[in-house]
Amino acid sequence: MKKYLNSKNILFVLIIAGMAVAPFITDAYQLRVLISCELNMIFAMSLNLLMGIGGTVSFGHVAFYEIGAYTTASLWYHFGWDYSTNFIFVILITGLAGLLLALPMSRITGRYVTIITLSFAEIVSLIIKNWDPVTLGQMGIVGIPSITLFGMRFKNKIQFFYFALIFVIVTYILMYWLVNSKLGRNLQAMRDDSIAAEAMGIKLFPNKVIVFTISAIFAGIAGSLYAHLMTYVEPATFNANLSFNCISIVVVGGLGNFTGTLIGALFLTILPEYLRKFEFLFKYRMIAYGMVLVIVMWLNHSIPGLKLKQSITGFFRKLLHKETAVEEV
Amino acid sequence: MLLQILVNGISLGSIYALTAIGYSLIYSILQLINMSNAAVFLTSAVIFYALYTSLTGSSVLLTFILTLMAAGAIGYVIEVIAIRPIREKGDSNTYALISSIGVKTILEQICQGTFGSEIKQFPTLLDGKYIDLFGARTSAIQIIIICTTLLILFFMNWFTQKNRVGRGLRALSQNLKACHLMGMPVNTLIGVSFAVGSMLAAVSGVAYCMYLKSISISVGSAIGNKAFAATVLGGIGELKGAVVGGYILAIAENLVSGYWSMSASNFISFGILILVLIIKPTGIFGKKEQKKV
Repeated sequence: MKKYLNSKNILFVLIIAGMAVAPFITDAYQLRVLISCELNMIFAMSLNLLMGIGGTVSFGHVAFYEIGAYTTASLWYHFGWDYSTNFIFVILITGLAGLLLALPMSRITGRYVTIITLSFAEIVSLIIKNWDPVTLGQMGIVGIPSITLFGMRFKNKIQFFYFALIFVIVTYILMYWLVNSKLGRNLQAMRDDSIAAEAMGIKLFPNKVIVFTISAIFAGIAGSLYAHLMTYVEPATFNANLSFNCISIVVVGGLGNFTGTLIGALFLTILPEYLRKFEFLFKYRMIAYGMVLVIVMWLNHSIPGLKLKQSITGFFRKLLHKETAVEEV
Repeated sequence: MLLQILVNGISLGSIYALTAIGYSLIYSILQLINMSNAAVFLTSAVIFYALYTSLTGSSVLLTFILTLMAAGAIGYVIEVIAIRPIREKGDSNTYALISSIGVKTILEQICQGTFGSEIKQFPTLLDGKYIDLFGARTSAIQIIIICTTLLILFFMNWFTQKNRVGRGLRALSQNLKACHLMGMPVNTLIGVSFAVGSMLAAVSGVAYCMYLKSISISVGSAIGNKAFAATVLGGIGELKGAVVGGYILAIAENLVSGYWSMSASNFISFGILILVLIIKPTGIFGKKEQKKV
């Protein structure tokens, strides 16, 4: 028991406890923002597994999100299945997509992986845009009902909120277990020095395939929840900016730090919504994502002549960051 | 038909090539994929539009020169603000990459905030005039784009081979540390490389919008990704690779959309890219990298 009692896990429990009581004090709009926080948490944790632990900077993570959203939406549209059935297909199809993306990794390393992920996302979005019989193309699929489990439909957003919260908890626990398992240690060894890891008998390719698949599945789950939350999906929503925003969340929280990702998701989802209040900032509110990236990169490094930096950096490092080196890109 | 496709392909390829050189130039020096390049493409087109419609009246040349200067300044400032603090600490390029994504987001959002999300008419040159080139209808703006690109390519060749600053940049790409030891102004030179890359992106941004006769907020990401694909196809870090990759992609796209369908033309560029990466990951001109222990 004692080995689970570290600051990160305690912080995680606090965040979840805070989230659990939130529906009692929020209005409908705030609850909706919190639900998108939860989706971003799952999405960003899946990317953090790939970036922080796997050491791969992925520019195309939105592809899995999109595939997840479209899988559940199309299955509902064509067959009228409920979420409990669709969920299995979401896992299967996004897992397959992750596997497919991982296949070229047997030959390709380093920065070319990043390039492949970018092209993969482009191709996925093009396929979905043009595969009219299944995805209805540019029109998008409209009128997706709220989540239905075994014939039981969620009547309000509060039920949806707790359903998504369960997914956040499950994702976190699985990620925690994964990072501390043999697979996680292999991945970290590969991230820090792939040649040394290979010399130690760790097979690079199977590990990469597994991490890509798992990461894809969780991104897909977040996407499928998104489809049911928004009640419609259209290709234009899933653009590259979604991937970059997700990278922002991961970076703010610290690479390889899943509790940090939760905080990052809360921070970066609520901040732009908060900035909506101000007339002047309304149009520019999404700049926050970019600013945060540059500023965190600064704080982690040196700003000449800024004494405050030491204390702030130290504070953030202790609280959130786990120093990790990512594979050169 | 074929000739027409080639003409269209070459004029689009010129636009890809110019942006691709920007990616390649910075990559060859810092081994950094500068994601902000696509945003500079968009920003300079927006600046051109804003200057043309408000300040400079209707002088295209004056507007163009002002836009180039602004783009160069933006490039230099990006390097100073976002890349230099990370570079000087000697940290992994991944951090600089993430920082450049941040800059890209900031620039794009500023453009979106000031410009809005609707499509607007963009000023063009010699509208409606064209030449019949052995049956291929070549518009005046296409000829201007192709000629300008050729001029710029010759200039870049002279710049990197003969010019003092350009030779400095080549030296940097060979060995950054040695340049530092030899007392070269490394920081200024890297800033210059960003400025040059941004100016090339500005030329292609303005040229592309003139070609389309319209401007919208989405031009940056569309062309940025294609130009990036072209860079990788030719071999990232090689200037001639960027040019060749740009023309190959654009001609292939036009061939497919001419003989098959428009929607397939978008697939083909990324399909080619993935194929090349699987067969020869370093691209057409790329040199093989050795893993060092």
